[in-house]
Order: sequence, then C-alpha cells, then structure tokens
Amino acid sequence: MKYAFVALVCKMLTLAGKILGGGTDLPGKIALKMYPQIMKKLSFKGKVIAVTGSNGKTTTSNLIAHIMRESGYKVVNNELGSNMKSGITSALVSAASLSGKVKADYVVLEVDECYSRFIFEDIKVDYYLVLNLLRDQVARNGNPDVVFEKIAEAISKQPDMTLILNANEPISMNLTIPDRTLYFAMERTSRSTDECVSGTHDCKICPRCFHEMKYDFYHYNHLGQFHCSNCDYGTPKADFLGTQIDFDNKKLLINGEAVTIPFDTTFNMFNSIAACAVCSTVGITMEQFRSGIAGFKGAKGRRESFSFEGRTVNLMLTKQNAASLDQSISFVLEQEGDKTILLFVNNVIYLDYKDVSWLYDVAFQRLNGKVKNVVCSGNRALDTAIRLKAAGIPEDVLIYENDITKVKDALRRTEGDIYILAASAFGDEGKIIEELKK
Amino acid sequence: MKTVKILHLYSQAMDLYGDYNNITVLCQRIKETGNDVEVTAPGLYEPIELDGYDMVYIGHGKARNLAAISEHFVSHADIIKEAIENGQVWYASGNSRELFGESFTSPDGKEHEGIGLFDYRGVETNQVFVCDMIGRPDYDKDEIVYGFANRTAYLEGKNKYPLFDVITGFSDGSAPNGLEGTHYKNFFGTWGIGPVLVRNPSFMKHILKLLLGDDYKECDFTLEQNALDLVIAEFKDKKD
Ligand SMILES: [Zn+2]
Repeated sequence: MKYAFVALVCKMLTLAGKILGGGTDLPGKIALKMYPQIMKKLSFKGKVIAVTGSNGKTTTSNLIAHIMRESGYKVVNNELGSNMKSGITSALVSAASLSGKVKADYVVLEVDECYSRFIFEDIKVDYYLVLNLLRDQVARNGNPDVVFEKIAEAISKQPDMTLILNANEPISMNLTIPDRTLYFAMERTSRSTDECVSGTHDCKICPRCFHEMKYDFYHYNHLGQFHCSNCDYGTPKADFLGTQIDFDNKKLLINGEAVTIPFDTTFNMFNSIAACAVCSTVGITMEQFRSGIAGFKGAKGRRESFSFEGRTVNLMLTKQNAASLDQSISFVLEQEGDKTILLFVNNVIYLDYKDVSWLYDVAFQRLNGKVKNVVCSGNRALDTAIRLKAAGIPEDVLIYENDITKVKDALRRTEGDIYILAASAFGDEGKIIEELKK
Repeated sequence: MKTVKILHLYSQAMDLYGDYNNITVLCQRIKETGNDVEVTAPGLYEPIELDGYDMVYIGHGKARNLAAISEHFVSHADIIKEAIENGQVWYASGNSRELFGESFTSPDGKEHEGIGLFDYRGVETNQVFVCDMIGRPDYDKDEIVYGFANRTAYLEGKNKYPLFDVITGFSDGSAPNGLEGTHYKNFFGTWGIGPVLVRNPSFMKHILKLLLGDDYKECDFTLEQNALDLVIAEFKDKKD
C-alpha cells in the first residue's frame, strides 16, 4: 500500500518534470525520502544490466538500450546524468506498475561508479559491465583504487551476477571472479602506440603483486595489451574481440563478424565492442546488433559546432577527466587546417576548489608546433597558462584571459578554426558559448 | 655552472595527480638559471643510493602502492635518516609523508612500519578527503602558499616541525589545527598534491636557493605570482 502511494507520487512528479522540464533526479529523491526501501519493492520480468566505468558509460548504456529497442524489445533505462540512486529510482519506479513490477524485457542502467553499491543493495542485477577505470574527476573520486574498492563492494552484494570486463584495462579487470566473468578486448589498431602517449598512466605497476607492468601496445592511457613482469596477470583471451579496426570507414570485426558503427574514435570502438558483448550475452543476435548500432545517433551535446566571425567553432565538452581531454586533443590534432585551442577551465564548481592538478595529467606537450594559438579562459585561466608553459608551449602561442567578456577579443588575435575544450565540473561551459554567440 | 642531481624515488608507484610536474618545472627553472640538471628515476625495488644527489623527490600515490613499497623504503631507513640529518634536500608530497613517520595503516587495515624520522602515524580512512589550503610558510612568514589536498589518509600525532601556519584549510590531522606540513632541516613534506612548487613562486625560489644559492634571481615568476595572487584574492572575497 505504501509502495503504491509513493510510486504514484514519483510517477506524477516524473510526468510533471517532463512537462515543465525539471530534472530527472528529483522524483526519485522525494520517493526515497518518503520510503527509503522503495527499490526493494521492485520486481523485474526481464534481465537487469548495469553499466559503469570512468569513460563511456552514458554512450554505451544508451547504445545497448537503443539496440534492444530496435530489436523489438521493451527496455527501461535511465537518462543522461541520472546515474545515482535518486535518478535510477525515478527511472525504475516511474516505469513500474503500482505493484512494483517492471515489465520490461530489459532494464539497462547507467550507474555511477561510486554509487553501484547502494543500488545493488536493493535490486537484483544480472549483468554488470565495467568499461574501464581511470583517474576521473579526481576531486570527487580520488584515484581509481578508491573507486575499485567501491565497485568490488557492489559486486559482493550480487552473488549470481555475471561480470563483463575489459581485458585491455588492468585495474577494472582485477575485479574478475572466476567462472562469472566474460571479457571484451580490442586488438592493436592504427592508433595504438608502443609507448604511452597520454599524460596519465594509472597502472604502471601490477595491482596484484605490485611489480612492473609491461604493455605490448597501448590504445590510450593505460589501456592496451598488458602482462605483469612478475606474476601471471595479463590480458586474457577475450570472449568478445574487436579486430581489423578501420577508423576511416567506421568498420570493425567483432568475433570475426563485420560491423559498421556510427563512430570513429578509440573510445567508441571500445564502447561498441562492450555493447556487443552485453547484447550477445543476453540473447540479441549479431544481425539485430548490426542493424541496431547502425542507426544510433549517440549522446547529444558532447560535440557541437557553430560559427564565430566566419571561423568554425568546435565545442568539445569533457568532465574534469584527463583521459577525455587527451582524447579531445588527439581529435584536434587529426583535423586539417590552422587551429586555435580555447581552454575553458573553472574552479571545481560545487565546492569552489582552486585545484588544477588534473590538468597536469594531460599530455598538452602534443600541441607543441601543431596549433597557432592556445587561449586559456575561465577563472583558472592563468593557472592553465602556467600548466601549458610547463608542457613547453611557447609564450608567444599562449594567450590567457580570465575575464569572460574579453575572450572574444582574445580570439580575434588568433588564427584558424577554433576548438573549445571546455572542462568544468557541471555544465558551466554554457557561459563561454553564450559569450561567443552574442 | 653546476649540474643539479635529482633522485625521483618510486616514480612508477607514487605517481598520482601530475605530481612529477614539480620536477619537470624545477628542471626548467634550473636551466633558466644557466645551470644544468639530471633526474634519475631508479627501477622499482632497486637498492636506493643517495650519495651524490642534491635532492630527493617522492610523490603521492595510491594507498596500496604506498603499502607495497614501504618495506623496501624502510630497509634503507639508516641511510635516509643520515642524509636528511646531513641536510640533503628532500620533497615528499601527499601520502609519501607516511613513510617518514613511526607507522601507517593501509586500506586492508594492516599496520606498516615507517622509518621513524618523525613521530607521527599515518591513518588510512578509505574515504576521499579534498580541501584547499592557504598558509604562511615557515621559511618566510610574509609569503602565502596555496595547496590542495586529495587524500584518503591523515597524520596522527603532534606536528613538531610544521611547514605552514594555516590561514584557512586542511592540516595534517583529521581536523584542521592550524598547522600543515613538515619542514625539518632541508626536508619538506606537505599534503598539497600536484603542482605545489609550480604554482607557488616562494616555495620554488626557496628550493632553488637551497640548490643553487642566488642563481634563482635569474628566473621570472611574474605569471606565477599573478596567478597565485588571484587565488589568494578569491579566499579573501569569500571571507568578506
Ligand atoms: Zn603481478
């Protein structure tokens, strides 16, 4: 009886939120306040899949849900950004009947790395995809070991759950539970390197025996084919292996079957292989996967372009995540023509920390000689310029302007297409776009 | 012209938050003074040899890595203590400071020995603690230094040799107590992680002075000082 009442409130708030454009977290938050055990009352007709990781969880969970829907199944999933307990409560309770039954064939949940454990307490999860662990929003998450412990705690609450892990990522692969784990991996690509070219390498030593880790090649950061110099920990034979990666034509083979995908980045090649691993494991055919992924539009708003005084402006949003920023830099370096980079770095918003240490984990030295100018903006503009100076960017290439109203003038002193690498914690980048569009 | 020799210990294991950039930029600064510099990063678990080095650096690392390397470090306790007592310049950031105390705990609850140079004790919490700090360094109380802590442990015990009088922000302990860091002879320790030397001209100058005397006056710190002044002003704005 109590469930039905609170669920009704949650459903009405969700509906009101949809009409009025409110957040998706609020209904769940209120429902949890009224009834903390509400998720325990839910039951599921179909399989529940949880997706987490430092990079790619939104894209991959949306991709999986999309492919399942295209294959004719009823799917419940949580929307972008609502990956903590309240957002997931909103999504599930509003999709359930008033008796708490979620009648979907599949439930696909994007789950925050640090919050899985609170969700896994309440609902039974059948499959858990962990994409990767890298240092990410370090002011919130600390380091990957801290996150690893939280995920391990979540896993301990689900004795029957199957794990789907990345065999190219030694930190999260160490979550392996024998006989309950499937692996995905990607073979060497044209973008792989012998040495780590990223600014961060989170696994120079083995997480099992603490001796030096060796890599046959790197995909990005510390992801690649690895083996420990001391113990037998290393990339195993994958259950789902991506081969013949063709970035130009957006094609690859997964377990020998040709797939065309709507992506051309290393990140998304991995995400596609991971999505295939999940879909295949839960009974989607390769034919369904192939046609489903072909029509996927991707997460909105991560990459956008507009014009500023006749120049193209490419907006590339990242969280305060060094690996994402490194990938954005790789993308910029692959583009033709003269380029100017505009970095927009603010304080870590929610508590106003003036830390920029995460910028020191980004391989900015790769910009040297490749871009016309780098403009540093945001309230940490000067500190960002100091970081770039440390990376060897010459002072005549560097412009810094912490007054947002003067960024336009700063840009007028530069040449080429503009790439905005906006890195702020929660959506403050709107200000710089507003300013340029004025 | 002098060639400054720097030893970077456990560069593979103690490598969080871009800490090594303190060394990168220190090297750039040394070159700006017209001197030369060499950095040696020994292989993991190779014997530590301190003779001939002007400065030794250890960064902040994952708690489990710290526990893993501690036995190796402590097996060199005698030569490390001797070198520090004799005035070798040391810089230890973040949780690497735990190695210099009596003991510390790791995430699995085990107790590990330190070299016992200081009588504090490291306590692991398994919880992420982040905080800004501004404080006055003991080498020059007219200066203000900015630091950012991102840690899962703290130090327990009396801070006999504090590096900073804290104006606002974190201390060594679990709660602010007005003191942060260690400055003993030429040993410097702070919970501030990342580019502490890079962003604080007074601290960089102080280290350069210890290594090269007055040659540091060749370096231009205008941008760094302006950036730091803006940071400090933001703290003042908040108070008003
Ligand atoms: Zn090993």
